[in-house]
Formats: sequence, C-alpha cells, structure tokens
Amino acid sequence: MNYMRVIILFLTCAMVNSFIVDAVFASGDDSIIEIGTIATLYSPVLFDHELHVKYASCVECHHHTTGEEPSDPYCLPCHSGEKGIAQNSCNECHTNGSVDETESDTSVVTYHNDVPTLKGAYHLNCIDCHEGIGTGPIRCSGCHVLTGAGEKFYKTEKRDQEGGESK
Amino acid sequence: MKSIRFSRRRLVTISLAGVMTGLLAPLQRNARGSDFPGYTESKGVLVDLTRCVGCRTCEAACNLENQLPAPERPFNDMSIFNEQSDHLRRPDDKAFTVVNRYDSGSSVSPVYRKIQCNHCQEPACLTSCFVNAYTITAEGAVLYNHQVCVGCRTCMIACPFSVPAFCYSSAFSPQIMKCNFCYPTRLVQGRPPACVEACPRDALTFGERAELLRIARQRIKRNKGRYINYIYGENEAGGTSWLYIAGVPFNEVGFDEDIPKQPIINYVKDFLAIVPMVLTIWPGLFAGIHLLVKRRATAIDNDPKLAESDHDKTAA
Amino acid sequence: MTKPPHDSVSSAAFSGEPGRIARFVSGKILMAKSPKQYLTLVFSNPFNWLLAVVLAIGIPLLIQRYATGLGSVTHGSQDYPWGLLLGFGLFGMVPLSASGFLLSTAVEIFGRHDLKPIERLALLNGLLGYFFAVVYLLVDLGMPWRLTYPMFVSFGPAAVLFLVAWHVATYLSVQIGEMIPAFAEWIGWDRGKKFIKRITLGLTIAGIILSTLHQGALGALFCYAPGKIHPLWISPEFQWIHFFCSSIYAGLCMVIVVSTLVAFFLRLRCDENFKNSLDRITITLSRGAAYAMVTYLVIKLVALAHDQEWGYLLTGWGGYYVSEMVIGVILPLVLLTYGSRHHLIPMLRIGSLLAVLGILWNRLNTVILCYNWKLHQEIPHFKEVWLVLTILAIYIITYRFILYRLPVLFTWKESDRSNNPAR
Repeated sequence: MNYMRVIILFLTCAMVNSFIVDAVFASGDDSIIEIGTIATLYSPVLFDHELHVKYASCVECHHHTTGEEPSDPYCLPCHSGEKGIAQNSCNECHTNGSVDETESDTSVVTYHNDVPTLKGAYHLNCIDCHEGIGTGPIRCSGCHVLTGAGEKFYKTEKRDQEGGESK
Repeated sequence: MKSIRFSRRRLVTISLAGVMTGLLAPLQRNARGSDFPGYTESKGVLVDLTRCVGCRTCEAACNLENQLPAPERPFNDMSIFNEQSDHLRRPDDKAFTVVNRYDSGSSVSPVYRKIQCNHCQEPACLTSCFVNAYTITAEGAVLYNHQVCVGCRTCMIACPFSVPAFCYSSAFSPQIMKCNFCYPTRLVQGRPPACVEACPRDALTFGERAELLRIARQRIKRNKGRYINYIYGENEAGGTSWLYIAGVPFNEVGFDEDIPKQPIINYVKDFLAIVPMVLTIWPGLFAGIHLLVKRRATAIDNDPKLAESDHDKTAA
Repeated sequence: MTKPPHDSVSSAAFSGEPGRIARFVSGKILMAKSPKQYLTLVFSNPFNWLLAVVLAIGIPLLIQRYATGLGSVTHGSQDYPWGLLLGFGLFGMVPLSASGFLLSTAVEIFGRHDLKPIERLALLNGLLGYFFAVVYLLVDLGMPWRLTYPMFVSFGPAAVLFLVAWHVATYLSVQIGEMIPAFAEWIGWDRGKKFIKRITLGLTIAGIILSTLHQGALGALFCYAPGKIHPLWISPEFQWIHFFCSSIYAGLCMVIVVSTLVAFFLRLRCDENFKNSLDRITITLSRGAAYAMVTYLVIKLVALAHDQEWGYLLTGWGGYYVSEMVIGVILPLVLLTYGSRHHLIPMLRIGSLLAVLGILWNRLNTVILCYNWKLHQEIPHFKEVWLVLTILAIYIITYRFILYRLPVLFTWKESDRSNNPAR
C-alpha cells in the first residue's frame, strides 16, 4: 500500500502548489480566462468570458461588485445603487478555506457569512445557471479534462473504452 | 424444625447476596447520563442536498483517504445510478460512503444523497456493543476498534441508519467497516474529512455542529422556497453530527422519517432498569416461597388431614 | 442412603488403568456392545441415515464457513445482519430451553414433586438447548474465538448483549451443575451428586434469576431497533416481558413434545414411573402452558393498545400478525385447554407442537421477516438453511446419546451399577 501514500503525498503537494496559480488572466486576450485554482485531478479550465457575457448579466456572477443592481433581495438593502468596486474577480472574496475560516476572514460577518469556497462558488454558479437556461455543460467532463492524477483518483485506469462520463 | 431454621439462614444469605449484586448493578451501567448535552466543540458536516449533483467525487476521495479496495467501476461512471433496481446502494465493507440518485416526485431534476455514518451524539452502535468496541471522541466522531470486536453484528441491528457493514468475506479478521469521520488522518488536526474537501459544490460544509445548525437555518430562511423547513439529523436518534437540508421531503429521498427523535438507548432503559430489581427481589421471593412450601409440606407430613382439606379446596 | 460399595468403580473412568477405560468405553459409551454390533445397530435405523445425509453435506459446509468466511455460506447481507443461524439457533432455541428453570422451579421451589419424573428431562432439554444455542452462535459470530471477550477482555456493561452473554454463560454453568447428579450416577461419582444436592436451592434460584433476565434480554435486544422492526412485532416497553412470558409456555410445550418423542422412540429407556406418570404430567404442564399463553395474549393486547397500533391490524402485515397469533398461540391455547380438561393427551401433544412451532415462527418474524419491513426481503441462502439443519442434527444426536445412557428417563438403581457395571 506504499504507492497509495505516495499518491496522497503527491496530491497534497499538488493542491498546495496550485493555490498559487489562481484565476490567471491570459495575457492579451481578455475573453479567455484560465481557471486553475486546484488543477490537480483536472487540467485548468479555459473559461470564455466573452461568450458568457452574451448569456448572463454581470450581476449573475459578480453580485454587486460591477455596479449593477444586485438581483438577490438579500443583498439589496446594503448594495443598492452602488458604483461597483475594484475587487470583482471571484477569488477576491471566495477563498479555498472551510466555512470557519471564511467566516472569520469576512469583516461584515453578519451578512457575508456562509460564503462558498472558490471551488464551490464556481461549480454552484456554473452548473445551476447551465441547468437553468438549459445549455452549457453540467457534468464534470463538459469543462474538465481529467489528468493522470485524476484518472488514478477516480480509478479509471483499469477501465476500457466504454463508460466514462455518461450523461 | 431444624431444617427450616437452616433454610431460613440460607434465605438470609441468599437475599444478602442478591442485595449485594443489586447494589453493584447500577455500577454496571456506566455514566452515560441521559442529560448529557453533547460536547460543545463537537464537529459536524452539513449536507445540502440541493447542491449535490451526484459527481461521486466524495466517494473517490473517501476511497483514497481510507485506502479502501478499488471499486468495480470507476467513480466517475454515472451509469451506476441507472442500475439501482430493487434496492439502492448502501455503505458496505468496501465503501464508507455512497451517493444515490432519487427521482423525487416533488422535484423535476433528480436529487442525490450521500450516505455515510451520521456520527450520532448518543450512538446506538456504541451503546449496544457488549465489548465496548465503539468510542465517541470530543469532536463527535464515532470510532470502531476492530481489536476487541467479536463480530456479533448487534451494532448493525442497532444503527437506525443501517450504516455499519461487516466483512463477510473474511474468515479470520472480519470486522465492521464504517466511516470514521477521517478522525485519525484529518479530524485530529482540525481538518475537514476528505469527502468535504473534495466536494466541488460545497454540498458538504464542515464546522462546529452548533454553527452548522445556525447556517442551515439561515440557508432555509434566506432562500425562500428552495428548502423544506427541516434539518434532518438535528434530533434524529438524539441528534447526529451530520446534518441534512433538502429541497424535497426527506422521505422522498430515502431518509427514514420514523427514526425516533431520542437516543436509541432510551428504548432499552426500561429493560435495563428491571435488571437490578430482578437481581434483588427474585432471590428473597423464591427462597421465601420455597420456605413456605416446605413448611406446609412438613406440617402435612405431621398431620395428613391438612393435605386432604387442601385437596378438597383445589378440587372445588 | 447406604455407603456405596463401589468407590473403586466410581473412579474407574478416571483411574487410567487400560482395562478399566476399555470397560468404561464398552460398558458406558457403547452400552455393552462390541463396536461392530453398535454400528450395525446405528445404521439399522433409517432416521440415522437421514442424519448422516444431513451431516455429510453439512460438515463440509461448516468447514467452508470457517475457512472462507461467513459470506461463503450465507447471503452475507449488510441489511440483515442476523440471519437464520441466530434467528433459529439463538432466538428460537433459548425460549424452547426455558424448560430447565421452569421444572426445577416447580419441583424444588414450589414443591411440585408430582413433576419429579420429568424434571431431569426438562433440565437436560434446557442444558442442551442452551449449549446448542451457543454452538449456533459460534457458527454465526464473526470471530468465534473471541467469545469470551465480554467476560475477560473488553467490557460494554451498558449493553443488553453484555447481560445476555454473562447470563447465558452463568446459566449454562448452573444447568451443568443441575445435570451433574444424573452424570454422577452414570459414572458413579457420589461426591459430586451429594455436593450438588446441597446447593440445589441456590442453583434453582440462580436459574430463575438468570432465565428471567436473559429471556427478557433477548427480547430487549430488539429495543435497539425500534424503527426497523414492524411495530406489531416490537414494543419497547413490553418486548422483554413478551419474550419472557412466551418462553414459559415455549419451555413447557417443548418438554411435552420431547417427552412424546421419547415415549414413542425411546420407550425402552423409560422406566415404569416415567411412563405411568407421563399422561398426568402432560396434563399438568399443558395447564401451566395454557396459563402462560393467556398471560402472553393479554400483554400482547396491552402492547397493541399502549402503542396505538390497531390501525396496523388492517394492513397486510396485520393479517400476518393475526395469523401468527391465531395459529401460534390461540389455536394451541384452545387445544391445550380443551385437551387438559378432557384428558385428551394426543390433543395436548399436537397443541404443544403447534405452540413450539409458533414460538419459532414468532422469533423468526422478529429477527428476519418483520425486521427491515420497509426494505426489501431476503430469502436465506440454502447453505445457511443446511447449516442450521446440521447443527440441529448434532443436537438431536447428542440429545439421544445422553438419553440412552444417563438416568434421565429412568431412576438410577444401585443394582444397575453393582450387578451390571457395563449397563
């Protein structure tokens, strides 16, 4: 079972390292964003920002930060009529901590609590929206390409061609 | 007469012995009082069924963390949900956790539910185990010790959630397999269990149980219409460390809503209470009856008429 | 009592002299027959052929179970952790073995010396029933070699099973003690008999206490699963008393059934005293059983009313429950009551058999059929069924072996030993 330990060690190291590479804007082209927060099991995701602008208004992903009127009535009392703030990329507020950490990091605990992690925020927002409008990938392989580590993790190595990401 | 006096002395001896055993009996039932409110720092996980999309990453993470045997089919093979015929998957000796899909009548899209040990605050497995193989930590993790387990499987009977599984295939070291809250590898260091860390949609939230209850209530309140106003696990079986909120009625997604809202041990206390009574009262009672009968028999021996009159009485 | 002249014989079995051991084997074990004669006799009985077939398939299964694990001979079900081995072997055998404490209480405590001729049969039935319940347990336990862990290694004193383990273990010792006189007479060990005679009262009272508690405890075990067993078969407040009360008539009826079998098939081993008093004793036991059945029915009704379960009676499960009560309790009750009033011995015997089967049915319902009533049902694996039959066959063989030899159905006469030590 020693190789198991190696895999665990490898995964842990990979996760720690990947925190450093975060939501990097591909230089020169504003429309394609590489999301590689914890790109261990999967390769980084290439997110076409321009494409999504056609389907959704800013507020649906960026809350109040872009200056649009928040759609969530819960946010309105404070953030109505705001001009927007500089920190409007996801990882400014959504971090990769557990619920306890998010809570203590937030200055306005009373309202900004139960904030999803960065990974959670992506998946919650993307999939829910895709499901809602009936287009866009909703299963893992729609956005993600499995890495070698991922194949080990999901135990796909022994598998032959069929199967995989059905549905 | 002599024999009677002898018996009387014996009666006293027996009764005394009974009383002694009776006095010792309360010591048997150790100090797990019913009013114990639980450890304050007890940890938990809040499972939000409205967020789970059935990606089974938690299953994979659990398998890796606990070095469990490789599954028959890979963890990202979703066709497994289509084959749940007569009975759904459940945690077994090869998997501490499984995710099932439910086609709930109240929801258009299918609902997924993760099953694992709920880590009760007063675990039935623990209270039913006659070799004390189960312990509960201050963090709320219910742990199993295979070194003393006899393999009687009472814990499997007792668990209201039917979680513990037995290695039937092992001849020489069959043991109970169940989720350990990743206690040895993670919880001791204050880290969340592997499944929680792996969940891509924050369907699993790790934290202090009291805090999670607050978060659950807040989510229900903040998102009108998204949730059923109920936290499963808050009171089930006396309260569990794993808590669930859902958008559909719980019985539509495989939760047993008939699980008692009090610790399972409460149902056994009635019997446990009679144990010292039987131990103390029976010896005196039956020795007394024996004495009476013997005295009558001696009397009848001396005066046979007594027996006849007695016979008439019973015949009448 | 005269001083027995045969103390030399008494130690024969233990003295180690080759001649004496040979005499012990041929005289006591083979009942004064040569090994060849004995085997011929054994195989002249067709029932033994049946037993041989059961064992021929069962023993390899038993080896398979210990070599390759429980899963290879049972369903290995995660949802039904207790299968037929425990459902029949432990939960069924133990109530049927209540006979020992019932009859010893009647004779020793209540002074019912009219029941004396059957006391030893009841004691033996109790001892063997418990012993084989433990054998069944040893087959079913995951790690049978750890059987004594709750006594010596790790203690879970708040658990019901802890009580069961301790009480069954202690009670088994008590029952061995109670059977020592018969054994002592057989091998001629007078001191053992005298010692037990002195502590009979203590043993009997210990028997009552331990029986009350663990017959009840077997019921209370199911209080751990209040939500899993169909409400008609579980009522936490009354479960222990249901099990205890039903064990009373189960034990009495089992004695009637066994004594019937003995009277038909082991008639040679029964002495006149036993044969002549059997009808009278059957009636007495039937009356006792009938009283216990009435009590049982009443507390069953109390439980129904207390738990407000009337509504369930109208469902399919309710029909099944009613049929269990009618066939397993009410019908035998009618047979026993009518039969004992009109002295119809065959009716009493049929009624008893029905009650015995009714108890087994009730226990199997509680452990298997009505357990997980909201989930799927499982039919036991044929190998598991066969294992149950195998142990049952060994039980029958042991039972018969002892009845042929030890003074259970007949009263030991000193002449038996001094005139013919090779009886």
